[in-house]
Amino acid sequence: MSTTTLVLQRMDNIIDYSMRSVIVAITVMASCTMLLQVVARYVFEIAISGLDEITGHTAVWLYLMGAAYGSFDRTQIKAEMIHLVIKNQRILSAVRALACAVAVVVSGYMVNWSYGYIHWSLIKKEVTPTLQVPTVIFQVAILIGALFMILYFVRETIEMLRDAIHPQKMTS
Amino acid sequence: MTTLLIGILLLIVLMVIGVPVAMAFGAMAIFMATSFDINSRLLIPTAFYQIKSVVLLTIPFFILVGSLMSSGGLATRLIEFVNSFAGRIRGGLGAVTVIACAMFGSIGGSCSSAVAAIGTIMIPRMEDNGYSRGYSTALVACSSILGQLIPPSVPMILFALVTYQSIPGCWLATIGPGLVVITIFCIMNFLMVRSMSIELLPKLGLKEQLETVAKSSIQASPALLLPILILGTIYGGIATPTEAACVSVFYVVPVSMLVYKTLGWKGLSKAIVQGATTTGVLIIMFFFVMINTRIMTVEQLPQEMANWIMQVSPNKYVILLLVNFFLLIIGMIMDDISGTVIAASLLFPVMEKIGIHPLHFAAMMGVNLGLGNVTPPTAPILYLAGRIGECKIENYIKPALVLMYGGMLPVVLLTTYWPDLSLFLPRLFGFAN
Repeated sequence: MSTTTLVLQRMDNIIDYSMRSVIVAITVMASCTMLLQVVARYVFEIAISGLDEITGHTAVWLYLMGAAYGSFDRTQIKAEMIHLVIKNQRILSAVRALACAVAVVVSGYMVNWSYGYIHWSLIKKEVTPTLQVPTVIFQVAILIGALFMILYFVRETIEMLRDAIHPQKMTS
Repeated sequence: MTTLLIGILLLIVLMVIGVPVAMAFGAMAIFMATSFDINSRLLIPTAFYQIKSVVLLTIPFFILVGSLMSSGGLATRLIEFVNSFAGRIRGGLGAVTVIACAMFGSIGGSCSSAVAAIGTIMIPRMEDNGYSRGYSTALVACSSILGQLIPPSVPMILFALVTYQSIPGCWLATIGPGLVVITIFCIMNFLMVRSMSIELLPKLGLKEQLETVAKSSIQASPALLLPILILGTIYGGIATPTEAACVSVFYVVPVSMLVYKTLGWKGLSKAIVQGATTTGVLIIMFFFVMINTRIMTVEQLPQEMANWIMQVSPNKYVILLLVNFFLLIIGMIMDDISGTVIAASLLFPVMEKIGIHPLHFAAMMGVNLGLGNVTPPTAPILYLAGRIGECKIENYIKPALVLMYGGMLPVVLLTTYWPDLSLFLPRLFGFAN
């Protein structure tokens, strides 16, 4: 195994571990804040101001990291039917590479749109209504999630193209 | 209108060639925004404000509960419980499968999780008892539809969010059709297994039978309490769906880890990541659907579409038949959750225009997409069951078709043309007039 492959694989492992850790941490945090709210409201009959707000906003990180992880472990929902018509492995891989390339383009648009939104939010100094937390902290999740998606869709595109050129080295 | 049709065509083509469903919705959004020259600054905030909603958190919590239920051994206890009642009669194990799918639906919330959790346990067990593997696979696939009809149902949460309806109201609307499906499938099961040489467990005396039921009830009681906890707190007005979902997570974790001892820290972490991934993939699709909905609303496309359909036929019953057909096709192409989101955003204005109650439409969508999900050629849930049951399609397609068209199709028509079936419970609980 070459040094470059080794480095890339180690980076991949680090990103994988970091994403899983972030996902677990956010899930635990969102669950605990929601439970705290339930207990406060129904047991102690008090309302903790802003808890709802922080839970909802934090969940955006959970969703985007989850979506990015879905691209990493290739569990994005697909409704592919082309394999029912095309039986030639080479052509099938080429079509799948095209499908991944489309996903790269869409993720690219998502990066562009979210960057514009973050930029606007910074200029306007947008904050959450109750706790006055800068919303950019949560909006940046869309940008980062989309960047990860580009990374993983590009990787999948390359693998599919490789499969199209060398069908004997099928990876999926 | 032409732009919308091209957009839908683009969506379908991209999905067919294998673009992830969420990204296909994204491509549609890009195409529509570019065509109508709508600035992204109008679109992204709308989607952001939708996904930061606390109500949406109901989905990851229920998905996590379903994931923990599968890995935490609760599904096994539920099956043993139903089996203690019906397992010793001819065809009883088939009825156990149907009812277990419904009970799992009352916790897991989707067809795919019901297939995975119940199919893994029941298909080998049914085969060991003399049922054909093909029949067992077909029964699990068709019964898993109950996962989206018996509340809490994840597709119905998304329907409620897209159409701005009450989540408990949507859940109640699908219970009536769900109960009819359970009844029909149980009857069909007893008729279909007559020719099979099924091994029956020896009959027990009344005392022994009661002891068995009592033992399995005690073992399953933590799992049986879960639907009561979820639905009781929601319909009792004690908790919101999100709060109930959150509490159920904190209920399932200690039950699986400390009572059943089938879940460790590693398993918990794996279930969390799995649940978050499933949720993330769904929410990113919801994100793009909300952008598309925003574009369509700004351009008044749903109204145009409604007018166009009314021109095809002003007859309400003909329109309903067309809608059924459309929903069936959508169900054949997509999974239950993606299908619900796209069909709700496209068809809801049409339904409003012809005077169909939103909760009646929710029930129609539930049964139609359920049938579509097990209807070939695409049939995502049918193939999933085949993978889990390690069974070739030619071995289970025949019993599956009998169950689909003998059992499920009449329920689709009944739900469509008899609104009281779906509206009775929502009316009883004050969610519909």
